[in-house]
Amino acid sequence: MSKFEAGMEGMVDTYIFETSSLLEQLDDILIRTEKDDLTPDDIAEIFRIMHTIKGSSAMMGLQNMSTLAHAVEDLFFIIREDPSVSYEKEPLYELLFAGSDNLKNEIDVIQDDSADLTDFSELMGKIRAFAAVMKGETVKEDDNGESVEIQIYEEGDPESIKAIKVTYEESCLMPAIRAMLLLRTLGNVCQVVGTIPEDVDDDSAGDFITKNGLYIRVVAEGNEADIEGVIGNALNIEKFEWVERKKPEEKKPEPKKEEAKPAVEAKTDNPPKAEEKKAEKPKGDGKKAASDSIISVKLSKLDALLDLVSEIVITESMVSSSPDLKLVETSLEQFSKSSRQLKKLTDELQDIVMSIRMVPVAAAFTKMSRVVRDMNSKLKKNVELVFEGEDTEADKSVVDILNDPLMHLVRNAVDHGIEEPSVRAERGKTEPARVTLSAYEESGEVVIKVTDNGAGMDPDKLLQKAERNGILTKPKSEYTEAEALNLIMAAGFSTNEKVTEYSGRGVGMDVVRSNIEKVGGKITVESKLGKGSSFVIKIPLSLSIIDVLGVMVGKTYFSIPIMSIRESFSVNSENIVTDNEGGVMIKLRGRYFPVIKLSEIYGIENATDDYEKGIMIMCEADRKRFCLFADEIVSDMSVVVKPFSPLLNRQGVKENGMSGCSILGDGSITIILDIKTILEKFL
Amino acid sequence: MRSFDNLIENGGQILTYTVNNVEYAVDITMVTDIIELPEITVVPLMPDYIKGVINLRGKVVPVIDLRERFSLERIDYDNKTCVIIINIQEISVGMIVDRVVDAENITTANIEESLRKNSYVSHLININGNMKLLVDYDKIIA
Repeated sequence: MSKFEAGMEGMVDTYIFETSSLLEQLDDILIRTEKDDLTPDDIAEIFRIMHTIKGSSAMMGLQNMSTLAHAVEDLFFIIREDPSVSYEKEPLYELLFAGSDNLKNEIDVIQDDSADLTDFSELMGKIRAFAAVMKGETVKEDDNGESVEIQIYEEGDPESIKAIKVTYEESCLMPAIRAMLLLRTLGNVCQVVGTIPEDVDDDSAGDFITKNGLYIRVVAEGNEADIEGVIGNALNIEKFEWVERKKPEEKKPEPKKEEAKPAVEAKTDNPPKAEEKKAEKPKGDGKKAASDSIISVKLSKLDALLDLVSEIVITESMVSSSPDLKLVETSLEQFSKSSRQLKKLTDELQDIVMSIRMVPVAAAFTKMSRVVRDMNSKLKKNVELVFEGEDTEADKSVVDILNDPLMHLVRNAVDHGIEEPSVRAERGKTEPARVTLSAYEESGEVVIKVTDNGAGMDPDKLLQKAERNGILTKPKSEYTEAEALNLIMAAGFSTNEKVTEYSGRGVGMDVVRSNIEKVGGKITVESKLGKGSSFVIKIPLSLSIIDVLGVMVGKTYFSIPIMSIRESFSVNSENIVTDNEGGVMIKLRGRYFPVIKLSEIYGIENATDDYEKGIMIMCEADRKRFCLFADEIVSDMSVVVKPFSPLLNRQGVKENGMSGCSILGDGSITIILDIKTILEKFL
Repeated sequence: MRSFDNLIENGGQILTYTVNNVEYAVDITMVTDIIELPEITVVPLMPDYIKGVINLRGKVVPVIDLRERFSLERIDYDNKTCVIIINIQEISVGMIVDRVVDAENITTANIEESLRKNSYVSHLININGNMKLLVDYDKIIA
C-alpha cells in the first residue's frame, strides 16, 4: 500500500532530500549548542526546521512524522515565546536527538516498500510531558472530547444567510487545506460570508476543524441544492448539515452584507495564495541570503551535462584539426582565430562543469560529530573528534560513498581503539582521547584518514585470531606486519570478543573495504601498539582530470599518470641485463631497475621487441622504482578519467593494473594504467 | 527483477537479430542504440568474448561478441554486422550480432519458458511458427 497521499508520489524525492538536509541542519545545531548556549537564533531555526518538516510531512500524508515534528515544534514554541522558561537541558536534548533519529529512520522506512510507518506515540508522549512540565502544567489529556459551543449566526444576519456545518473524516490529513479548497469551489456557486474558524489558513485551524468541524456562512437564496452538491462532491467529508438558526432576531441587514462582500473576495482569493506559500516555505525563510544563491540539482543531470561537455570538447578538436583543412590552400586566418577562441571557451566550460561536481568532504565529516557524541554519552569515553582539511574537495559521488565507511571506522575507533578512561590513566596517557578525521589531496586521489590515539593493534594477536578463524592464506610466519594489520579487513574477522551495540559483529571492516574498492579506492591500516591506529582511505577523484603521458604499445594507446612517472629515456642495449629467470633489468646511473614490458604483460601483438627502438618510462610506486617499456611516447595531456563499466570490473580489469579509461580528442579511447597495481602484480 | 520480467508478464515489442543463423530477441525497451561496428579499443587480459570498449557519444561502453559469448565459431565481421547497445540493470553493454532483423509486437501468448536451465536462452517466442529465442541478458554480463 502506498504510504503517501495520492498524487504526491512525484514529490517523494524532493521531500526526502529536503527533510534529510533539514534534519542534518538540526543535528548540527543541536551538537553545537549542547555544550553551549542556545541562542534565540538557534531556537528560531529549530522551530523553523520542525515547522517545515511538519508541513511537508503532512502534505505527503505522513501523519506520524508530521505529528512528531509538531510535538517538537511545540516545545520550541514554548521556549521561543518565553525565553525565561526553565527546563533541564540534558533531557531536552535527549528528546531532541531521539526525535531527530526517529525522523531520520522514518525517511528510510518510507523508501522501503516492505516496512510499515512507525508509531511514534511513545516518544511523543515523552515530549508532551516535557512540554507540560515546562509550562508548569500537569500532563493534559490529549483529547478532551469537549466541543466548543459554536455561535455561527451573528446578531442581525439576514434570512438569506445560512450556515452549514461540515465535518471532516478523522483520517483527513490536512483539513485546513481541504477547507480552503472547498471554500474556493463554494465561491463559484454562492457567496461565502464567513467561516469558523475565521481564518482557515491559520496554524490552529486544522486542529479546530478536526475537532469541531468547519462552519461556513453563505448567502443562500434558493441555490441550496447547488451548495449541497458542491459540498457533497468535496473530498474527505464525513457529513454536512445545515445549521438551524437558534433564535431569529430582528435584523440590521444591509451594512452587514456590504461588509461581508469583501470578505468573500478575500476568501476566494486566499486559497491559491496559501498553497503557493506552502510550497515555497522550505526555501523561503531561514538562512535567506545563503539559500537563495544555492540551488540543488540532481546528480544525474550533472552527469549528463558532463558527458555532453566532454563530447563538445572532442567535437571541437575534431573540427579544428579536421583533415579537410589540409586540402585548403588559403591561409584560413579567420578560421584559426575563431577556432582558438572556441577551444578556450570549451576548455573553460569543461573546467566549470567539473568544478560544479566538487563538494567539500566536510559534508561527510560533520555527520560523524553526531556518532561520536552519541557514543560518548553511552560509553563515557569522552572522545574528542578533530577535523583536518575538511574543506578538501572531491567529486560529489565520492563524498557520498564515504559516509558508510567513515561511520564504521569512527565507531570502531571510539569503541575498540580508544581505551576506557581508567585504562588510559593507568597507562599514563595524559592527552585527551581523540579521533582525528583528516583529508587531503595527493596525486589525483583524495586521502581520508581516521586516526585514533588509542590502544593500537597487536599484529601477533591479529595473526593468532585470523589463524583461529581460518582466514590465513599463507603460513603465519610469512606475514609482514603490514599484512597482519590488514587482516582486520578480511571477511569474518573481529577482534573484539564482546559484541557491542556499535561494533564487533565482524562484518564491518570487510564491508568497508569492499565498498571502497568498488569505487576504485584502497584502504590500508597502520598501527602502533599503545599509540593508536590509523585507517587510510584513498579514493580516486572518479571524474577528475589527471595529467598523463600517452604511450603506444602495438596499436594500444595507454596513459600513464604523470604523478607516477620519474623520467623517460631511450636505452642502449648494453645496459640491459637479463637474470637467470629471464627477468630484465636496466642499468641507469649505476643502479639496476627492473623492466616491465607492457606488450608482454598485456599480450599485445605487433609491439616493438627491440629495446633500442622503444622507450623506457621510469615509474615509482610505494617508493619502489621500475621501468615500463613501450613503443613510443605520443603526447602528454590532461584527460577526463572515466571509470570502467562494472562488466569489466567484474572481469578483474582493475586487478590487472588498469584504473580507467578516457576519450581522446579524436574520439578514440585510451586506457589509464595504475602503476601501483602493475608493480604489485607483474613484478 | 530480471531483465526479461516485464516482457514475459506484459508482452511488448521485441527487436530480433541473428547470430549464426539463429534468431534471437531482446525487449526493445532495453535497447538504446543500434550502430554500425565502430572502432573497438581492446582492453588487455579480458575474456575473449569481451572485445573491448567503444566511444558511444562520450560514454565508454564495453562490447561483447555474442557469437563468442555463445561459444560459437568466430567469423569475420561484414557490413551487416552491427552492435546493439542495451541497458542491463543500469549497465550499458554493446552486443555484436550478425545482423538485426526486425521489430515485432508480441503478447504473453507468444512466449513460453525454455526448459533448458543452463542456457543463455530463458524463453522461446513463437510468432506464427517462427521461433525466436529470448536471451537472459543478465547471464550474458554475469
